[in-house]
Amino acid sequence: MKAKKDQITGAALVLVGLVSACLISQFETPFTAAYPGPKLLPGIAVFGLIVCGAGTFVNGCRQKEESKALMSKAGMIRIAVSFAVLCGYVLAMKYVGFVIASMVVLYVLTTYFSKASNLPTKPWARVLFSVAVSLIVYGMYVPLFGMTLPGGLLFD
Amino acid sequence: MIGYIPYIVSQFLIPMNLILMVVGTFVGIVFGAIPGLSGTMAVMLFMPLTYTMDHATAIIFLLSLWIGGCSGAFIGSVLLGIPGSASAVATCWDGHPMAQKGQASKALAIGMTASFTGTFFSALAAMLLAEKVADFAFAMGAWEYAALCLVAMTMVLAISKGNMFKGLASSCIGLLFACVGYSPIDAELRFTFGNMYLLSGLGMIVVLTGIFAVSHILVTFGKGFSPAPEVDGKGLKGFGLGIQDFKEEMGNIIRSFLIGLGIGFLPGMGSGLSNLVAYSSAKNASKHPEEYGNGAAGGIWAPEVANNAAIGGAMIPMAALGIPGDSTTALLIGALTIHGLEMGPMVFANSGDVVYLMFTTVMAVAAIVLLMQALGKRWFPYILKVPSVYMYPALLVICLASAYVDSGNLYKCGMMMAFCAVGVAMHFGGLPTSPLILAFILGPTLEKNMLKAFQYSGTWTSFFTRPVSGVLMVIALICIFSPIIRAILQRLKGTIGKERG
Repeated sequence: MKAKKDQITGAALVLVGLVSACLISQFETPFTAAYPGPKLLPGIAVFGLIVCGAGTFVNGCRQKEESKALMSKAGMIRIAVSFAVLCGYVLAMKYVGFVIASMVVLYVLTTYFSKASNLPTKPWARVLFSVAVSLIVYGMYVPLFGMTLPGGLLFD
Repeated sequence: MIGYIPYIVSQFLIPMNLILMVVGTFVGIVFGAIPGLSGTMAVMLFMPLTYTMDHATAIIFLLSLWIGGCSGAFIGSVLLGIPGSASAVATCWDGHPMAQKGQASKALAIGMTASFTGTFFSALAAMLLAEKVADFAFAMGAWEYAALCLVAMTMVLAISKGNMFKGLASSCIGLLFACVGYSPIDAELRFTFGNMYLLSGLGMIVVLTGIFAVSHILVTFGKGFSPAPEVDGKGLKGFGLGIQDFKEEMGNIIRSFLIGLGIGFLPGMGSGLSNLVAYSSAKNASKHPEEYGNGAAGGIWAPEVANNAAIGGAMIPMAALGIPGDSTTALLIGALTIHGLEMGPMVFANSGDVVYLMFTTVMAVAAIVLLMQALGKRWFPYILKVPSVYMYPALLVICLASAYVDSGNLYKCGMMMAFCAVGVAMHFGGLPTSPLILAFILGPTLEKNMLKAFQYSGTWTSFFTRPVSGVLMVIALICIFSPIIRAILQRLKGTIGKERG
């Protein structure tokens, strides 16, 4: 039997609640009725998570039909690829700095978004856009508002 | 209040403040107009930019983004039939049919005038009322503050259409995130796993931008971008509205204004609810309710006045109690804390000049929005045609730059990606994000006051035996159990109906 979406969500919430409960039990300050201390708020949150998780799970069991899928498998792959590109962007910023990493990631993302969505764009427009946005964002944060963005280990 | 006028005028005369007010308003309108983006997202993304500004400049910029975002939401509703945000849902029902009848100019003019009316006069009301509310708040203790925080968090759940369990679970996740770092009063480390980056907590920008903005963009892409919409921009000339139109709807405007102000004032409520309530009450009070849904002017006036009046309404508890009226005011409270301004009853004594600058800024921005929208009406269709393929990658880069600027290290950028994964998972599980935002921001205040209350009284019953906190706790409990109460009431109605039948 295939698990329903709410059953999975409910089970995940209960699991998070139980793991958090284990972590809370390791706090040193004791929980008393007169003064519950640092366990109070996370305790309430954990109790809520377990109850709501169980409620969601039961709701899932009572559902007669499987709810409609939120998106296609291709959509999920699009999310996973974009997520991986962004994680790579964070790593790249460490070594080559904000400007170069942003130019590359903007070009990669616009190209990927364009191809995956069947919304054609011209390569020169994507290059121009990537360079312009990277420089504008850098200019806005660093010279204009006096903040710092990663310079890159390779250039330090 | 009058004593602060020289300070307020001096702030408005600083060129940088004026430039940021205009730029912030423009960016806010664009974020508000484009379906999928919002003023809240604009405030979230640009908040780190304000860290190096002085607090007055930061307030002016953030408020401009917020007000621009609230006012711009009707543009998508009228021209596309897709609301720019939840606050403009009811505007679609008559705004778009009116535009389809060839009266887009009039529909937009009503939207912008209604936005101005709601924002300007609600800020004026907030200016007059907030200090009075603050005086009352001095009588409130830790019990009442804790109960108010609970009410703010649970009211969002009571009005949410989705599954109550999921809304509550989202709040609980927000509370857990708020617990990371040193606990208040006892200073015990919680959920830090020996990581020094977690000692001071997770950080508002990292959590909220990751869950609210980055994951939202990825999910939108996952669902697939649609091509730039076709918008008929013909006939968008002139202002399109006369004094007579205003006079005809005066009763509707006043009623909607009061609804918006009242709902905005309630902790946890906001423009998302006020526009729906105002629309239905306008329809009920109308002599021609059959025209509603087919392009009735009243159907645009009511939601737009109400959702913008909720701005001033939300600012009253924000300034006087330090309790947010909605998720954007929750963000603003967080941003102001970073700038050293602790909202609450003492703020009028400690930083009265800044509070009145806030109210005046909202009024000034309302006027700038009206001017900008009136002059730039013919360019509205172009805002809606911004290609997603370019817009979203640029926003993603800004999100990650914000995370870096917020903390000064790439570790927080990695954490933002982790919260993006949490946001995507929440989306797949059908968990709403608004309760999480409110719970995450209110969590520390809630915990601090609950623990203080326990220190003073040594028992949980004191939350129910003190009159004000008792009433608030009962309201919070009613909100939590509202689906069960509703179900029981419906069953009772059904049983009575059967017996009578």
